[in-house]
Amino acid sequence: MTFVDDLTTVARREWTRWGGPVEKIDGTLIGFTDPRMEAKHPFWTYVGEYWQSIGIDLDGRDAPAWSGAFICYCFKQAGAKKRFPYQDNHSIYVSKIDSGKFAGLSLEDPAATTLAIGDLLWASRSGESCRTPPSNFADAKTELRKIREKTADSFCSHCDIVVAIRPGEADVIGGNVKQAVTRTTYKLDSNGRIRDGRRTFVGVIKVSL
Amino acid sequence: MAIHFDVVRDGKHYSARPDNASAFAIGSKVSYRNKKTGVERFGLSNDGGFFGSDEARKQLYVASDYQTVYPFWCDFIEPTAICEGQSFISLNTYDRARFTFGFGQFAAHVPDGDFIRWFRDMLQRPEVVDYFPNLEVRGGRIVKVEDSKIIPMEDAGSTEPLQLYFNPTLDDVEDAEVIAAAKLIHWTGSHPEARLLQVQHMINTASRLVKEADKRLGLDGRGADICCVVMDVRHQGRAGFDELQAALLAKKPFDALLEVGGHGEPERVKNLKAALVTRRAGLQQKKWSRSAGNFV
Repeated sequence: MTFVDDLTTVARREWTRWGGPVEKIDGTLIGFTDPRMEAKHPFWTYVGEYWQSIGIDLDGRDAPAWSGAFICYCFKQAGAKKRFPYQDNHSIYVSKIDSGKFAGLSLEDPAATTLAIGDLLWASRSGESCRTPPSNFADAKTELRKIREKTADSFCSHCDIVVAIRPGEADVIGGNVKQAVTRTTYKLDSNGRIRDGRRTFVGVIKVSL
Repeated sequence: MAIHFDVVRDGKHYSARPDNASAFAIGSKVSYRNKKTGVERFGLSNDGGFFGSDEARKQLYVASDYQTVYPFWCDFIEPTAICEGQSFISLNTYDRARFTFGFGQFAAHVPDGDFIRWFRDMLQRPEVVDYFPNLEVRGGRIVKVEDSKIIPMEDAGSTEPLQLYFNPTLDDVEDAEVIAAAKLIHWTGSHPEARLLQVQHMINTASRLVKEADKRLGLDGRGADICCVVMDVRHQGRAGFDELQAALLAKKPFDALLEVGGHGEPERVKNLKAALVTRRAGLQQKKWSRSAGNFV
C-alpha cells in the first residue's frame, strides 16, 4: 500500500461514515439526510474528531469552517506524521507546502496539471469575513508568498482529495462541502485537467509521500 | 467588495456604469402584448436589432471553444444556442419568465429549472461578493440574507421572490431590473469560468431533456441529429410529445421533426434548419444510447 492508497482509503472511509452524500457532475445532490448534516448527531461528533486530530479543542458543534481540519485528519490517519504541515486553514498549509520545505508535496498550476488520484484539488472561495481570494494560480502563488512573509493574512479556500479518475471526470472527497463530508464529481478536459465552472481552482497539490 | 452599478438611461436605451469604469450597454426597453389577454408588458432586451446587440455579439457561444472540455456535447447544443441568440449575455425581461439570461435563455420562473440550478452554482463562485453579496445558497436553496434574517427566494413550488428581486414589475423597466441585468452581464464578461458554468448548465439541461424524451419517445439508437431537434423543441416548449411521436413515425423523421411547432414559431424553425445545414453530418456520427445515458 502506498501513502496515496492509505490517504484515499481514509477519505472514502470517512465519506462512508457520513452515509455517502454525493454531488453529481450535473449538480444533482444525493444522500444528504439533512440540509445541515454537520449539526446532527452523530455527524458533529465526527467533526469533533477532525478538530481534535490537530489539537484544537472543539467538539464539532462550533462555528469555524472545518474543511481544513478534515484534510489534516485524513493525512494524519494515513500516517503522514510530520511530513504534512497541519493547519486548519487551507491557505496556510498550502503556503508551507509551497515553501518547498515539505518533501513529497508540491503545488502545481491546475491549468497545466493532469489530475491523479491522491492529489489535493485547491479552490478559492468567498465567505463571511473572507478577504478577496486569488482567482488564478499566479495570484495564489503571490498571496502564499505574502502569507509566508507575514505581509498578508490567510484567505478563504477549500481542498478536496481526488479519489477516482475517469475519462473526463474526477471524483473528490472533502469536508464541510454542503455541510457534510461529500463526494463531488468534477469535469476534466481531454488532457485530464480540471475544467469545471462551479469553482475557481487555483492549485493542485501533488502528493508523493 | 461589492461593485456598485449606476444606471444610465438614454431614451429607451439602458446602460450601467460600474465603479470607476466606463458604462456598458444593457439593452433596450421593449414591449410585448399578449395576443390572448391583450395585456402589454415592458422589459429589457438585447436581442438582435436592439441597442446592445453589438455587445451581445462580442460574447458568442462557439462550440469549438469548448471542444476539449465537452467534446460532441458542445456541438449538440450549438444549434439551439444559435436559435436563442447565441450570446452568453442574451437578456430578456419582458415575458412571463420575468428574467431570462444567457445563450440557453435560462428562465427564472421555473422552480428547480435551468436558471435556478445555474444561479445556485453562480452564487457559490468566489466572486459572488462582487455582485450579489446578500444572496446565498443554504440547504440547497437560494436565500437572501438581510441583517440576521434569512429570506427564502425559491423553493420546490415557486421562484416568485427571486423573480421579483430581479424584476419587480412588468409594467416598466425599474432600476433594480437594470442593475440585476448589469451584474449578470458584467460577471459573465469578466470571468471565463462563469461562461464555462453557463455551458456546463446548458449541457446538463440538454442531457436531461434527451433522457426525458427517450423515456416518452424511445430515442435509443436514434441519431444525434434527430435528438438535437427533439431537444430543441422541448427546450423551447413549442410542441408536446404527441406531435414529436408522430414526426418520429414519419417516412423522413428528421424533416418531419423540423416542421413540428413551425406554425407558431416559423422564425425559430427557419433558424434551426439553417443551423443544422452544416452541422447535421457531424451530429449523425453518434447515436443516443439509453444504457450509457450518452451519445456513443
